Amino acid sequence: MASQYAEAFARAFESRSGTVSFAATREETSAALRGVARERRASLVAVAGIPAAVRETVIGALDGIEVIDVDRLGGALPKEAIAKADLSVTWAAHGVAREGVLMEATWDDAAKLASCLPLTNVVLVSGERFLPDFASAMREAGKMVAESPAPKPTISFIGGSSRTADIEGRLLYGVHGPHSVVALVLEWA
Amino acid sequence: MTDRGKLAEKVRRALATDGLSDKMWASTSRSRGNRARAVQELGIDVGAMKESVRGLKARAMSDPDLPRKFAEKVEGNGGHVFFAKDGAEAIDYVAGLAKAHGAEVLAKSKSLTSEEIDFDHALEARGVRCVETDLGELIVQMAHERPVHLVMPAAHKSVADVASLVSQSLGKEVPEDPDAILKEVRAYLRPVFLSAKVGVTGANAGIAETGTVVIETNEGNGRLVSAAPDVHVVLIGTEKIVNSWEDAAEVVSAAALSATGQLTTVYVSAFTARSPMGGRSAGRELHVVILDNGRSKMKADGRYAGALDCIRCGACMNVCPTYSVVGGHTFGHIYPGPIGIPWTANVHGVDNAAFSDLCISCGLCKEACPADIDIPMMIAEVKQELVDLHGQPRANRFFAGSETLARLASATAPLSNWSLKPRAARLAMEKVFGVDRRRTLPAFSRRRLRSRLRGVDGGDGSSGKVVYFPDVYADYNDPELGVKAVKMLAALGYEVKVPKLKWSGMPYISYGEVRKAAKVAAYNVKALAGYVQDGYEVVSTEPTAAYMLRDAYLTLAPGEGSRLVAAHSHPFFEFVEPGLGRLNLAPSRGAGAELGFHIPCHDRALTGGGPAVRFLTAAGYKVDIVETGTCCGMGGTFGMKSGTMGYDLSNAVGERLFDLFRGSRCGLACTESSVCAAQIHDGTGLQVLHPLHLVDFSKR
Repeated sequence: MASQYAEAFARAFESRSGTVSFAATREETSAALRGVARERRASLVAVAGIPAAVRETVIGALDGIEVIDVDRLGGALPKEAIAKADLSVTWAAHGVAREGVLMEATWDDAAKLASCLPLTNVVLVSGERFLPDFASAMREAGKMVAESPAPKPTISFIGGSSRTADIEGRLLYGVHGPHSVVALVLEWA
Repeated sequence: MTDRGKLAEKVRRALATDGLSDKMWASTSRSRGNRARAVQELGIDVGAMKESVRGLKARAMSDPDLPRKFAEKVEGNGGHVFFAKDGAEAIDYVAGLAKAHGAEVLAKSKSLTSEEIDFDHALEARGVRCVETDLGELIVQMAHERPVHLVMPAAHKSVADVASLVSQSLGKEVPEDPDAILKEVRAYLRPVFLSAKVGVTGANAGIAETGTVVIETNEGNGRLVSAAPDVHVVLIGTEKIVNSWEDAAEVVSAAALSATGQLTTVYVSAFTARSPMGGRSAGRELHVVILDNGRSKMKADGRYAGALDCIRCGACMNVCPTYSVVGGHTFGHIYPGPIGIPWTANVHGVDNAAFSDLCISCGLCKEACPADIDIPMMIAEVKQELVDLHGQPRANRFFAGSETLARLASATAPLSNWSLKPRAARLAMEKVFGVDRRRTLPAFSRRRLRSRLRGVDGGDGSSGKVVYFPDVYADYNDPELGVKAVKMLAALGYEVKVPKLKWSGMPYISYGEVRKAAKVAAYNVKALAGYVQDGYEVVSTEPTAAYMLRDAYLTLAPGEGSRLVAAHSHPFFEFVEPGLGRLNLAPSRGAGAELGFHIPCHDRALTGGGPAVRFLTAAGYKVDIVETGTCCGMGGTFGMKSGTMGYDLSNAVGERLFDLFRGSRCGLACTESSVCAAQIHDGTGLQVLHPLHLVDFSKR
């Protein structure tokens, strides 16, 4: 059962051109991820920042598709590898209800690039991790940064697809970052 | 050619450039509309937002150690900090970094601070190519131009212009299709992001409590520039540093709402330290360049310190009537638009701020500003500096002395009125005084208001006591308006006095005679404060006069007196509205007549026109508010001046409003402002009347 905040987030996020799905179980999560991958004809998926409790479900759902495990890339040229992915699956620390944005916290810029570079970004967020508004999210982010030992996290608020209105005010999507962003709210995690 | 002559020539060229005004108008109108819709639909309390932004900026500015505190936190997190006293130092530092890292190309996301110091060109001169990655910035870079707007750098370019520029720059034919252009740009920039060794961003805020830098983008280029290259350089002005994350949240929200009507931009990034890349920390560096470049001087100068509160949202540009038809290449030096005037005067020199002549003192920039910056008064101060340096043009001198002229013309009426009619006389006035011969000038009344009020019932005082402030128009031109106002106030039970006062003095502000405006304000405040202390309220039928009493006098004559006067001054219809139930109101032009109503700029911040509209509706009119969302273009007496820097520019702005009036079914127009009335009449041929001239009233 989605919380009031999660439902408000879904409305606001979709009004900003994002897409929202809810998954009540691991199975629904797998099905949703497979569905997006199939729909986008993804052949290479970058996965980054997924907590251990959810990770197995994500990797399992992408069985049969080549996966770049960004958190374990380690070696040289991770950004070029991520740039080749056509889909990414990343994690948001919080969803923000009023403004319809996702709050991502990353400790490695390779993980940040995973939500920047591919044309489609699926962002997973726990159904229990919603905050009422941007002001409270910024307070939470400030606390997280202040209390975190080095290296400090980078916080990114993401409110849908990369967009521009720089050509005669026409709204165009996917100028640099993802053309579409899907928020998948995990009600079980 | 003089600087003023050069400016007039630029305006002439801008107005003659095919499609420029239409593109700028479309762009600013869209932004105004998006903001207004968001405010209404989301129920945003704009007053509370302004207060909050002002408060957080005041807290930040009051702590001279804040930049140092911020710097210490950045360094504590492993970053490097360089304090640059000017642009040259900042450029030297970044050029040194580029050399040290073997970077021949810098990936750059939008930074107005970098525009301020001409960063790209200076780096290019040292063999380092800067590639702008914001689409709008990239377009103007390809065109070898400067941004035309703070938020919409390429608002003056059409799809065809952009396609042509991208085709030329990339050496391949790109169709005139926005999606196709976007695809090419994405493909062009992707390797730049991935291969650049150094990325440069600006900052929307620096958070002192944790040493965090916040940037906002819609395209996501800021995220890429700050993450992909090994070295990230942040260029931040000292004024962007705030105390806390809560304060940064306010700045981000206010900027997004005011710029584009969004609650936040698509991406808001906050980075506190250089993150590793794929586990590799070696070579990953964060450099924060904190730029002064005249900001300390601004902070110390009481006239301009408030400009440092600017959060670069561009809202002042979106409401500015003249900017909206000529664009930022004319209405700007490097910083464009209204807020660009005090910024230019302080960081690029006052002579570069001569485009201040394009400000017609409508005051809308202050109303739109989320930080409530008193931009109009700062512009007046810049104009005063220019007058002190270069003198006052003849036409400005003539109109700055409007009250004296009105007194003379009134004393010699009807001869003065007759002398204004012959074409030869108007031609002579144009040649000698710079008064445009095409403009209809108001007639003068031989008998002034106080003389007309002899024998008029001054009211019994059962409801209270009022000083009626007529200003020039209701005193010298249309005293009948003043008589009606006094009669209505008396009918409502007020004891009304019309003491001898000076005019409101607005033209002194418009023409950069701030010292004279301050003298007038001091005189009126002293006189009116005495009445207020005796229990009088101050009421005016001229919106500009009410605006001066309630707002501008607080700055011109600071102190308890002006605060008292401001607190007890009222636009006419706001004041009488609660008592209207005690009057019988009837339309003098036939019941059910349809009126086109224009809200004067100076009334927008005071009442938004609501009380006057309700007054007319209560009398039985159908009222259609005919609005572009900005000024009618008259700008007090600006539209009475001859030529490009007067009548022509005024009309170029007014055309949009005239079209709306022509398209409406209203056979009669109505506005509270005497000068707006002249503009609408001249532009549309409609009769334009003050609401009091459209309603008959009697006591119930």
